[in-house]
Amino acid sequence: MTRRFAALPCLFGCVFVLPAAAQEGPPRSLERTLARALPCTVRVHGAGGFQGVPAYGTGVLVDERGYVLTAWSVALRTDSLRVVDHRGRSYGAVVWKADPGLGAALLKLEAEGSEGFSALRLGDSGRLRPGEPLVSLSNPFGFLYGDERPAVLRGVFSGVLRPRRSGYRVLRLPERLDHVLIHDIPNNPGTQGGPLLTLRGELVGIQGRLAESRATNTLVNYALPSSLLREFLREGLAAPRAQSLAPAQGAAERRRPPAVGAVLQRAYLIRPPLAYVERVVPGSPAERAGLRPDDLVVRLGERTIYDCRDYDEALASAPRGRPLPLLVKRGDAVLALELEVPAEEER
Amino acid sequence: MSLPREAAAALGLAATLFFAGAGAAWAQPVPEAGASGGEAGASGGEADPPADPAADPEVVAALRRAYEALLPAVVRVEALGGLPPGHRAPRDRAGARGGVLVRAGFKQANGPSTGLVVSADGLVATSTFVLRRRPEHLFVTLRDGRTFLARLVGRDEAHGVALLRVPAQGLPAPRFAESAGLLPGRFAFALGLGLGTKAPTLSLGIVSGLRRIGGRALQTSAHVSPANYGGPLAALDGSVLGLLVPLGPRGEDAAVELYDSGIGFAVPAPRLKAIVARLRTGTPEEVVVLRRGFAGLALDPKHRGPNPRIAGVLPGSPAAKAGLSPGEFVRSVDGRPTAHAWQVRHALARRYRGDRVVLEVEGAVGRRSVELVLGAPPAEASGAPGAAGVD
Repeated sequence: MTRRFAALPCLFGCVFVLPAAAQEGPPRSLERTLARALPCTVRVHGAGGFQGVPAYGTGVLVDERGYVLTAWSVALRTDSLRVVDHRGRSYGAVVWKADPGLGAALLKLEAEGSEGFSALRLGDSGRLRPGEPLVSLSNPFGFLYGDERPAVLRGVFSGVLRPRRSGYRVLRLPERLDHVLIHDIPNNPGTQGGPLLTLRGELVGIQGRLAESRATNTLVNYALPSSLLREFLREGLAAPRAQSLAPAQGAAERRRPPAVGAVLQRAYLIRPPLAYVERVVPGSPAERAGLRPDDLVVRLGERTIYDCRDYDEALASAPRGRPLPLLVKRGDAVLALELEVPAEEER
Repeated sequence: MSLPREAAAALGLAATLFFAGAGAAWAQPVPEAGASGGEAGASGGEADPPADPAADPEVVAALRRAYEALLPAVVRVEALGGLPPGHRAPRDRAGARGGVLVRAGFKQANGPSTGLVVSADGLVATSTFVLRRRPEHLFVTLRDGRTFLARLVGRDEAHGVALLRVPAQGLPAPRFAESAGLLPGRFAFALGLGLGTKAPTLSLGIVSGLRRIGGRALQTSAHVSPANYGGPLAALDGSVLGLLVPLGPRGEDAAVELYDSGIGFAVPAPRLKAIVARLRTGTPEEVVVLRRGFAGLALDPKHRGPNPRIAGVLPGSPAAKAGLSPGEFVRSVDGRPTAHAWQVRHALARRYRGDRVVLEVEGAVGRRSVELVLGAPPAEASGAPGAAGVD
C-alpha cells in the first residue's frame, strides 16, 4: 500500500479542523480507544476453581449506575461476588439478570453514593466483515492485581459461526446462541466476559468461555455478538430488582425424528454407519423426494450427515411441515433433492 | 467538514511533527475518559500517534478486497466413512506410514476441511489431514453451493498435500504468488472452512520465515489449525502465497499441537505448483503417492570446509549402494553446488522416494559423479526409530 502525504503544504491552515475530520475518517488510534475503554473494563471474582471453571473473569461497564455485562458462568452463583475496577477499587456485586442459554449475565455493583462509572454502549456486530481489526480487554489467568489495567490483545474478526444450523456443535457453548463471532485473539481462562472492541471503540461483543469445536476438536476463540446481547441488556437495565437465579436446568428434551419413510441400513456393533438408504416406504415423503435404496444421504439442510445418528438428529431438529434440502450420493452422482418434513403428528 | 482519508492521515502526521517541534506533544497526558457516554478525547489539536499497521484503513480495505477475491477458490471438502471420529493416531511410528500427519494421540473430529481450486479443469488441492481417517467418500462443495463427488488422484506425504479431482470445468482458480521477492514481514492471511462456517474464517498475521522444514514450507504467524488446513495463505493483493498444511518442525506428527500458536506452515506457491504437476498425472485407480526420499547419508555437522563431509553411510542405503563412503565431500546435488550440509539437506528434501539424484563427490579416489535412487528412511524400512541427522 502507499500512503500519500500530499496535504503537507497546508499544515498550518488545517491543524484546527483535524478533530472533526479524524472522527469520521480513519479509525482513531488504539491508544485513544483504550484510554476510553480501559476504565470501563472490570475484573470479576466469583466462586469456583472447580470443574475447570475459573473463579475469575472480566466484565464491561455498560451503564453509569454500575451495571456490568459479563459472560454467564456458574462461578457467578455466589453471595460473595466482587468486582474490581481500573483503579483497584473493589465492589460487592449481585447478579441482576442472567441468561445461561445466551451465556450472558448482568451484574449490579453495590456502589451507593458512588460518583458514577464510565460505561460503554453496545455497538453493531452485524456490520463486522472478516479482517476487521479487533481488540479484547481482559484479565487472562486472573493475574491482574491492584490497579493493574486489563490486558489488551489484538487480532481480526474471522467470521460468523452458526453452530446449530451447520450441525457442528461447539462444546460448552451456551445452547441458545444462534451465532457467535469467531476471531483470532486467544481466549484464555479469565478472558470470558471481557469486551471485544473495534478500533473505534465500538463494543461488538463480549468474550465467551473456553469452548471446543466438535468440527476440529480444537478450542475456538469466540465472542457473544452485541446483536444478541441488546435485548438482554435492555430488559436487564429496565428491571426494577435483581432476578432470582433459577436452579441449574437439565438437558433439553430430545425430540423424536419425524417419519419420512426412508429406512436406513442401521445394523452396527460399535458405531453408527453411514446413512445408506435400505428401503423407501411407498407413498412416503422419502419416495416423493425421489430417494432410492442404496442412496447415501450426505447432507440434510445445512448439516453434513456423517452417520445414522446425525441423520436422526438433523431430521428431529428440522422445521416441520416444510421442505428440507437433501443431498444424496447415488453411484458417482451427487443429487440435490427436497424432502417434505411432515407437520407435527397429532397425539 | 470532511477531508479525504489520505489527507486526514497526512494531517495527523503533519500535526504530530508540528507539535513535536514545539516540544508540547509528548508532554500531554493521555486523556482519561471520566464522564460516560460520549466520545472521549479529540478535544485538543494533538495528533494520534502512529497506529498499528494492521489497523491502517488501507490495509483493512486491501484485506477485505483480497478476501472477497479469494472466496470462489476456497472450497469445502467433506470426508465420509473410514475410521471412527474418536480414532487416535497409533502411538508408534507405523502410523506415519499411512499418510498420517498428526501427532500420535490427537483425536481428529468429524468435521469439514478446506480445499483450494488449483486449476479450472477440476483440480482441488487440500491437505492430507482430510485423508487421515481413510475416508470412503470425498465431497467438494463450491462457493456457489454445488457439491461434487471428489476423487483422490495424488498425495504428497512429504508436504502434506493431497490433490482431488471433481467432475467440473471452469472452476475459479486463484492467482498464485511468485516466491521471488517474498520476504518475512509481509502481511499474510489464512482462510479455512474447517469450523463449519458458511464463509471462510480469516486469521491475519505475517510471513514469519521462508524455507522452513527442509525448504518445504514457509512459516506464518497467522493462526493455523484444523480449521484451515488445506486452505490458502494469501497476501493482501489476493495472491496465494501457499497452501496451509499440518507440517511442523519436529516432523509431521507434531504439527497439530502447534495449532493457533502463531506458528503455522504453508507449502509455498511455486512448490505447490510443482507438486500439483506431478500429482495430476494420477487417477482414482492409480493414485500418485509421493513420499520423502532418503539417501542414507550422515554429514559431519562440525566440518568447516569448502564442502560438507560425509561422516557415515548407512549400510544397505541408496548412498551405500552408490558406493559413497565416509570421508568424501559432497560438491553438488543435481548440479546445485553445496557448500554446507544444510544445502545437501534442502536439495534432497526437494526430491522424493524413487527419484534419481546425482551427487558430485570428491575423495581420496578423486572427483566423480554418482547417481542414486532415493529410498525409504530406515525407520520405515526396519521399524527402528529414525536415525537423527541422516538424510
